[in-house]
Amino acid sequence: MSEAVMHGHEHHDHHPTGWKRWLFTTNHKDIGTLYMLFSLVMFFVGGAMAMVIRAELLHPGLQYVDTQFFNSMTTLHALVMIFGVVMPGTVGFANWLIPMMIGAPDMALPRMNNWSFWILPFAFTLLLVTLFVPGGGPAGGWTMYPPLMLQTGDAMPFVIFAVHFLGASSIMGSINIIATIFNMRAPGMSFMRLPLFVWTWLITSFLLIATIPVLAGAVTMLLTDKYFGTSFFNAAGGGDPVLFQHVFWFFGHPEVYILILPAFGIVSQILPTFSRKPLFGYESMVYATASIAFLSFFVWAHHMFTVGMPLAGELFFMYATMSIAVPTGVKVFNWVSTMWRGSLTFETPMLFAISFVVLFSIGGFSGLMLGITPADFQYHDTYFVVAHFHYVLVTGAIFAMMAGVYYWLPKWTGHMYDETLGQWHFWLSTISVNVLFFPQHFLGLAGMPRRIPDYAVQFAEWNFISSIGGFVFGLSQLLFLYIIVKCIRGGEKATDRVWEGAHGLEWTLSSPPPYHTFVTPPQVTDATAHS
Amino acid sequence: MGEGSNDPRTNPGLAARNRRTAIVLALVAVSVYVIFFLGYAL
Repeated sequence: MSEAVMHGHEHHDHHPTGWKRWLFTTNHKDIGTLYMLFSLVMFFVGGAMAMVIRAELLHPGLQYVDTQFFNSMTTLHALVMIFGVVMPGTVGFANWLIPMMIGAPDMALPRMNNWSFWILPFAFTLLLVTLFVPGGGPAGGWTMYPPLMLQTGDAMPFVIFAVHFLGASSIMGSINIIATIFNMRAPGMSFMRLPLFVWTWLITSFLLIATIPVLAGAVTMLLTDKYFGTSFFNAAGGGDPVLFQHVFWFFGHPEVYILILPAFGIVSQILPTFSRKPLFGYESMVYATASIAFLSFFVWAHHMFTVGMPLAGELFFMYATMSIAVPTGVKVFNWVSTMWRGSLTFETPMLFAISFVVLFSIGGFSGLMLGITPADFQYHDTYFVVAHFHYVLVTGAIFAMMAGVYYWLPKWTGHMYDETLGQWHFWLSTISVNVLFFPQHFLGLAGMPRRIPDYAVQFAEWNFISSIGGFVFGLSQLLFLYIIVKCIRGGEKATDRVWEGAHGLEWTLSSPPPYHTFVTPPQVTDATAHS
Repeated sequence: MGEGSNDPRTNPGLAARNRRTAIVLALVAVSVYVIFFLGYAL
């Protein structure tokens, strides 16, 4: 245990206990744990909704739920998975790891950190009670397009306020992360010595601050259109429903990178450890991440090629979209080059990270197909789109988070997880997720529209296979839950470094780390930095 | 990464700097909201 850690441990080991510890905590590790547990709970809530969707689509015809409820399931599944699982999950990683990675004692604004988290359960209560209000839950899709969204019953103000609260939570979290990274780095921790995970979160935080207020503005306009007689999106009153699509996707496309950039950061930490080599092209990774974030502001209309834009607009957004493939390709090249001629071992975090690189690339390539304007006229609003973004978000963001959980769980809990069960979880998840989502490419290319509870019999076989894959994938995640609970409760004692090839300040701390760390800042050198 | 301790509990200058950073970023967020909401409203 380093001298800095001992120093902090001796003088600051007092902390509240019981429920007050979790309600009033300002400790970054406690708040990180709260975020991650919340994300895990929401993963099963959103997953249960996905099971309803796949059960209904198991066979053609209406089976188990009415059409309104089915549409509520698709809407809420997306909102829960995006705002309740991936965003809080990656913020949980940020809370746990950023102070430990940069040698800071805590986040810059610990009380605001507490607020950022505790807004979330309140917001999701608002969102999920809509299933029980007159008119049912929101059913117009997570994109909330008017005029369909304006037909929502009593659920609408609940959804709008929930989105506002979720946005406030994200903005406060982002402010905290930026202030922490800018102001609280240990001596010697220059920007170009930051671990790549820290870089990706710094850039993601700026994306959040720039785009979440845009979403808030858009949904406020929806609210005033519905209840205060405005006509932002009402053609009869001089408004334009397509305006909402532009404003929403000006938020929505950077949001995609908000979800995936921290995943890039996690994978960029894991691959060098199990390749026993430094990350290939560290500086180019930083610039590629920044380029992706910058370009994400200029591609929003590729989500709406079919609304009837001028040809020049369609060409601009098509080429801008293609250009994002360049920095993304740089990242994939660097990940593969990191592994090239490395001394590879295949523990569970590495397996999930490699799976991420391969399967996320499939999602990236189908994204390129969707970005080609004339091709998108065929693919738009079909199951091809569903297949694309689930490869990006499930085998991309979620797989990276799973890799990160296996990688840092021994550090967080002080116990090694069950490696055999971890490997089972990996193989079950990887096989079943492909059975679940790959056939959806075929369904989309054959013309099956998304967001429908019933379909023509020609789509029956692939839907049946996809649903079976979905059920196996869903059940596999119960194994993930069991592995986490088992690891928290006990197991083989983890060493401080945990992984032979791991580098960085967090591995100089004990496993689990003391409640307060780095009260005396460590001196960072090239030897103790990321490489 | 500034002068002295990087713990705002023992470094009032750092605490003030953290607050200033937070206020500036919050103003940026509010400005974006105002531009996109009031901008269309007016």
